[in-house]
Amino acid sequence: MTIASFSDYVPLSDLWRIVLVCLVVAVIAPTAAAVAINSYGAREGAVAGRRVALDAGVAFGVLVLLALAGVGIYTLAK
Amino acid sequence: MPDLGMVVIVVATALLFDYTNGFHDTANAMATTIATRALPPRIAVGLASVLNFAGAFISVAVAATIANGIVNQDAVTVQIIFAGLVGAILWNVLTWYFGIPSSSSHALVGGVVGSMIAGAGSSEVIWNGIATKVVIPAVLAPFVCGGAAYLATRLSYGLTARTEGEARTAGFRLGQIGSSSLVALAHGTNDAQKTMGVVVLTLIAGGRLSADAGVPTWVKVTCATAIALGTFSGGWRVIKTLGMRVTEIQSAQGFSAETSSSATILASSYFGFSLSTTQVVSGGVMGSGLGRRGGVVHWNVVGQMVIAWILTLPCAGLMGAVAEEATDALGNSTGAVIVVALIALALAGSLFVLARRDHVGADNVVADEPRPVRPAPAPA
Repeated sequence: MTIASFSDYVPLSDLWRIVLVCLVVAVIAPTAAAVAINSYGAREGAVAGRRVALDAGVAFGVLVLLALAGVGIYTLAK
Repeated sequence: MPDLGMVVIVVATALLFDYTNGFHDTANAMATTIATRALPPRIAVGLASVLNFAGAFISVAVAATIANGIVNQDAVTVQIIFAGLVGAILWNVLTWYFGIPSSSSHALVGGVVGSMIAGAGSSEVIWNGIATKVVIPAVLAPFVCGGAAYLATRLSYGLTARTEGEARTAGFRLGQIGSSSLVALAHGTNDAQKTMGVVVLTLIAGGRLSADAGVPTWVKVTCATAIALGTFSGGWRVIKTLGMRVTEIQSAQGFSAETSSSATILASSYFGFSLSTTQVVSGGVMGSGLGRRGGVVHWNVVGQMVIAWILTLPCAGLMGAVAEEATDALGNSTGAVIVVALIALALAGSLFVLARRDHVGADNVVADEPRPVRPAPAPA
């Protein structure tokens, strides 16, 4: 009964989508940041071959974060 | 039809509200960035200012919706808009004086509702719309963003536990600058549009613009400029509360709080919910405070914020109603509007003067807050 009344005011399906988006971003963003940070932190003292992989890790993490920002700006404009 | 002088004064009042909106809400984007020293205070508010200005031009899709669904727009007069703006400005300045991050949008809604009740009666208020657009989002926003920030903070610390401190701090600081910038951009888009809507409504109600004319370019430019100037002036008292007093923020927490805030604001906008940026970011800061092991949230400060959030609608409404009654009592003329505007300016100005006694600015906003000392446990 309470749920029925609440849904009169707020479309619950949209609310769950918002929560889902927030949780997905809350997982992806720190994970991407952690990949970049851990890769960058491990670069010092790494051998040349491994350094390339670590650079790729930094680039991957940064690109994921930039992509998230790009989606955000697109949403804003839309 | 109101004369041009009255329309000009009301438009100027709307721009003044936009300015207070900017300086009151600078904290939303930059409080955590300043607190973690990711950027120096002046640079941070400068960046937020530029992004608020740019954000105002991204979209005008919701420019005419501030009163839509809240009050009967056919009953809106220029005087009612003016009185509503006065209520919102005074509440913004009062909460700024006490350093409380409260919602400027809710203040505007409260002011307009109060002046509408005083000027046209409560039957012209759409109470269902207030529940849908203000009350329920206000309750949900801190929890949605707070939950996301909690999760993001746990992950941020957990996934970088093996990386030495400096690389982690610097990395999260960079990420924090990006996520804070997104919040500033979203704030410019959402909040500048609200003032654009008020100005357009004033011009239409004042017979200076046809209802289907859209938002004139000069309105976009002046609203963008007002919110950018307000942002640049920096609401340091609110920044201090949100960045320093709610919880002690480290860069990973700042990154998590601002990322979660931007996700919540943008997702809710996309699905048509109008959330308060202030409440979203406050929820994010609290969530990040709880997410760090050993992190402490100062619930007494949170309690003050929540009380202010509850009081925003009725208090801004009361101030709007008083302004409407005063304008009405003075004859609803241009002169009456000028007198009420001057009284409101004097009240706001006196708070600025009082605030100078307890100066908070770019130079001391990140000064260490005294922490309550816990008494040592008594020996057994």
